[in-house]
Amino acid sequence: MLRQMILKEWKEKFGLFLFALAGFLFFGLAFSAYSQDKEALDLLMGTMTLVFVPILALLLGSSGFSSEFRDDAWAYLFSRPVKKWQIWLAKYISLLSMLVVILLVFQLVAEFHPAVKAAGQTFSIPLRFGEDISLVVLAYLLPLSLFTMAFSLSILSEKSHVVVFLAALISYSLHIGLTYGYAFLALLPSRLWLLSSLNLLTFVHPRVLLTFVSPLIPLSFAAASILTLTKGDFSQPGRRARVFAKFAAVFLAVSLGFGFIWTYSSIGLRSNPRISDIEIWSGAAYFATDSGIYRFDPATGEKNRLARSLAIWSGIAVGGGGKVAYTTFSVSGGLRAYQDLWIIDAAGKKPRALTRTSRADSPLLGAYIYAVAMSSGGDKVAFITRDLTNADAITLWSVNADGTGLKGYSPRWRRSLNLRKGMSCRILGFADSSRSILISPAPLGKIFWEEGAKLLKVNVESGVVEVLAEHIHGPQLRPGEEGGREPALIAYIKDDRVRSLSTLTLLDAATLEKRDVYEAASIGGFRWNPAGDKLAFVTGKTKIGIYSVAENRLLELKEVAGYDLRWPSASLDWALEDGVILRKLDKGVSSLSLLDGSLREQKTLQLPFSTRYSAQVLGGGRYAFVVNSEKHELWSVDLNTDKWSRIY
Amino acid sequence: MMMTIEPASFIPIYEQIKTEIKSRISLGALRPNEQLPSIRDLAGELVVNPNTVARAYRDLEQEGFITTRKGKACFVAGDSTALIGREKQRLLGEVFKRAIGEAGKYGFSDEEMQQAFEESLKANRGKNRGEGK
Amino acid sequence: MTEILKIKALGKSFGRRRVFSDLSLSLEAGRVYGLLGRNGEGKTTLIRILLGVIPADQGEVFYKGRKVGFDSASHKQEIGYIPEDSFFFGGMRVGELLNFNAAFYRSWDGRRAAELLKRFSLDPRARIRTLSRGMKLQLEMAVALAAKPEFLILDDPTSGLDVPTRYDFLENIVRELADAGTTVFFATHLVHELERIVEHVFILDGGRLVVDKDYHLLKDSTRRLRLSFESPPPEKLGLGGVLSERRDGRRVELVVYPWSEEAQAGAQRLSPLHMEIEPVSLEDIFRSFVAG
Repeated sequence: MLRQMILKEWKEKFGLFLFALAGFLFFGLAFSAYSQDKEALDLLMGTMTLVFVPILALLLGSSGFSSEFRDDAWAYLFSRPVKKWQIWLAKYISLLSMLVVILLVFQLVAEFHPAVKAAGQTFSIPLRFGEDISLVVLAYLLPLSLFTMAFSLSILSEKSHVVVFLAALISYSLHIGLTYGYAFLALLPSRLWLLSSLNLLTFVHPRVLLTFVSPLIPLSFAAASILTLTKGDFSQPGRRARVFAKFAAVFLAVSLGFGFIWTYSSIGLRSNPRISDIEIWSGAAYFATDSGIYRFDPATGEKNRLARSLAIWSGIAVGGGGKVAYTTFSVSGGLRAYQDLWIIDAAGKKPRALTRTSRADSPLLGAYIYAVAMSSGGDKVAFITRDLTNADAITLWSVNADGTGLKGYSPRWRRSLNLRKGMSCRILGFADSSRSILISPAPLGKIFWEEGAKLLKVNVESGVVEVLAEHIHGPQLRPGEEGGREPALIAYIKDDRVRSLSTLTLLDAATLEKRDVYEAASIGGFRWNPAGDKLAFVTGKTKIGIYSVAENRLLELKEVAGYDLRWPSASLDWALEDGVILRKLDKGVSSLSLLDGSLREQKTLQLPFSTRYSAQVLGGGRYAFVVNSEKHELWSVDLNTDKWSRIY
Repeated sequence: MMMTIEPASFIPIYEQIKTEIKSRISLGALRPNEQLPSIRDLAGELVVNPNTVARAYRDLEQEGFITTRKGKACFVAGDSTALIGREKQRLLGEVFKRAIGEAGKYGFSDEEMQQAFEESLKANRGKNRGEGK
Repeated sequence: MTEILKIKALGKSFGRRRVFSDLSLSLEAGRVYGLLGRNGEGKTTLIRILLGVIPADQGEVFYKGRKVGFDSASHKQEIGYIPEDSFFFGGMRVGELLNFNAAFYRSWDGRRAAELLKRFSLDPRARIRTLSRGMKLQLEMAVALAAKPEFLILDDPTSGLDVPTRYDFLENIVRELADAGTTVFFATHLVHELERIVEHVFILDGGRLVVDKDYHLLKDSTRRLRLSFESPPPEKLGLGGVLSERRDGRRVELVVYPWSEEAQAGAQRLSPLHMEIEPVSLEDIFRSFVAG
């Protein structure tokens, strides 16, 4: 029966197939004609992928049952000894085969036409900051989804243009509605005002859209379509439509419910807004959550909210007496959300905006700020922006803490960095008395493990870039409080893949002198102590070493057992005067251990919560802080009294 | 076989078929041991339900006018003479019954009818002589 | 005799219009059934329900004793269907339509199909839309019969065709009956030819089965009465079972069902001048039932 159905459908809809071929021919010629003009190529690519092929899919799908409406042929078909879902499926597969052939032709054109191939490589739609939707997904999933939708709806009307319109309308409105719906839910409870922002697209993880929304909506409609055939009276249009709507609503509700639950658990809609960044400065914890920036001083037990903001990507930077630089979102009159950089003092007073990205004359118009660093004296702030429309445009900026002196470093900077799509960049801090900025760009993904990151110094005045080191990872600037500490020393791990060795190295940012601290097969990570004169590092997964900068020697190198040393940057820190705190995992119970300067365990404090995830540990003098990333809680413990208290 | 049947008539179709066949046998149009058309063929020719033809044949067989030989084929019975004679009588009776019925519609008395019959017979005889019969 | 089809308490409405309700009937294998009804009275609806084209609102259908639901397909293997209109895919060729149908029926006999095509002088390569109505009907017959059905459902296939074509069609049905003993369910409002082959009559009127009777019994129970009187007779004659009545001055013509001795006596009690009793054709029986 399937074979007969395929023959029948191909014969009936052959005109559409020829139209598709003619269209591709036209596009092929157009691509050849404009092969030198990049903008024209982009436009052609966009038209072909987002307009032409989807319309073909819609036309093909909507023609599904329309021929059967003529002369009541459907009654004849239904009177045959065959189940109605089999008719539906046979027709669907028959028309799908035509769509597949069309997509194959499309693929062939894209492969063998040089101009199309070139255009395809650079064409993309950035849906989320940093992640683009691949052309494959767009070019194939979209037509399949639209085709299924139109085919499912084609049982409702003999007028295929009505079906095409309906299918397109439902598809796009559901996708957009879901995007906003999920974004809205993701941002509950305190950010209802952001609903009006069209930039919400950036909040939604593309996974939600692509993996769930794309197949489930058309599948729901397909199921509704089949069930309408097997349960409803096809001869009564009104009844048919009502039965269909009923089934569609049920299936949609179920699949959207699944989608919501899945999104909820993956994005993390918790009652506690999550903690995105935490820094310790002078023993006080500064942390950024989705509901604002807080400062907690364990000595006084005071917790203040310094500012309301969302600092999801940019983090915070603390410096100069506890001043905090952070980013905010605001909505302008034109219903666009803008990100701005602000600075506020430790008491939460005197907030000042350092940028005004909503102003048309601002060089930062439309930019997203994603890395912030403050000089230790608190006089300058550096940050990196990413242009929403052009993922390649990453710019480094510096500005004075009073808002003056905004300087951007690009394209010179960009050129020397050889930035590609998909790179991230960290700012380590300032050096040379705040005259230069230290940054570390790194590729994302697998390449990172092969190439490592670079360490660059950018002169604030001239913008000249110096490459300080390459093929490194984990660079950290020596902390210095209250006026900065010179010289600026950077510690990093250098990987030698040839000899399979890692070296913990110190670099003087001013003299460019390098000092190898320790060499081993693997170095897991390290931490500077708050005074900036010692390094604690993990090597070989079971050894901890302590190195003194002043004496230029290893003070300790000890094998330790029973500690969770997997991610040293999160589980190891300095505490008290010279002590080190470590995370311990014993029979599934997590606890915090305090070791003295000779790495002898002094005491072990059990964590007041249990979690599947590793808890981030930070030390701040007398107190230690632990983050429960599962529930987004922040705890502190007094290392003298062993008393835990929950801060957030 | 070139007979006509009247489906709307009072008389069931199978009766009409039976009557036709019996009449033909009496008139000699169907001779003893002559093969009759099969049920299928007669039904097709008359455009009537084969069951109807089957019933007619069944009845005729029961009444002795036809016999079934070699499984399916039907033949006029070889010894139907006596039956024929009786049948002729019956047919004649039918003719008169019909005539009397018709005449009765006009309200003629028995004597009037009888007289009319005698005159018709005489006229017929004269006609026949005139035509040299 | 085996029961091939049974319908129990079938009901169907289109919106607020109730087509029929509580409809029940039963068919025996091997017989010819006629379903008479005016256009739009529900014949096609009933047939569509039997064929699983549209669902019934109430009631059940049983084929050979087994209940069949709206989506049941296996019982349809044995059912041949000749519809009123050509629901065809006009662009298809004759041969293609046969191949298309062959894929559905397990009992499809390709040789028989070819034979039928030849008998009907149909060119397999002709496009269906170029065929005349009569030829389309023959094509539908060929499709239906090539599947060797045990049960043949016809929905007024001959309306709009001239008399010779109708006779040809009927002849083919008759041959099929003679060869295979198929059960036939013939819905029509053109009763004249049906009378030649029908064995049991259903008359559908006002959503109800007003007649469900053996054909000969029906004929036997119906009479046309022609009465003439001295003076114009009264409005109410006081006779039972009058299906239809026509008056012309002193003459009255009645169709009476059911006919009996009492009915005749009752007529005679009216002291007519003249009384004629005649049989009624099925066509007139039908008209009397549905007009009155």
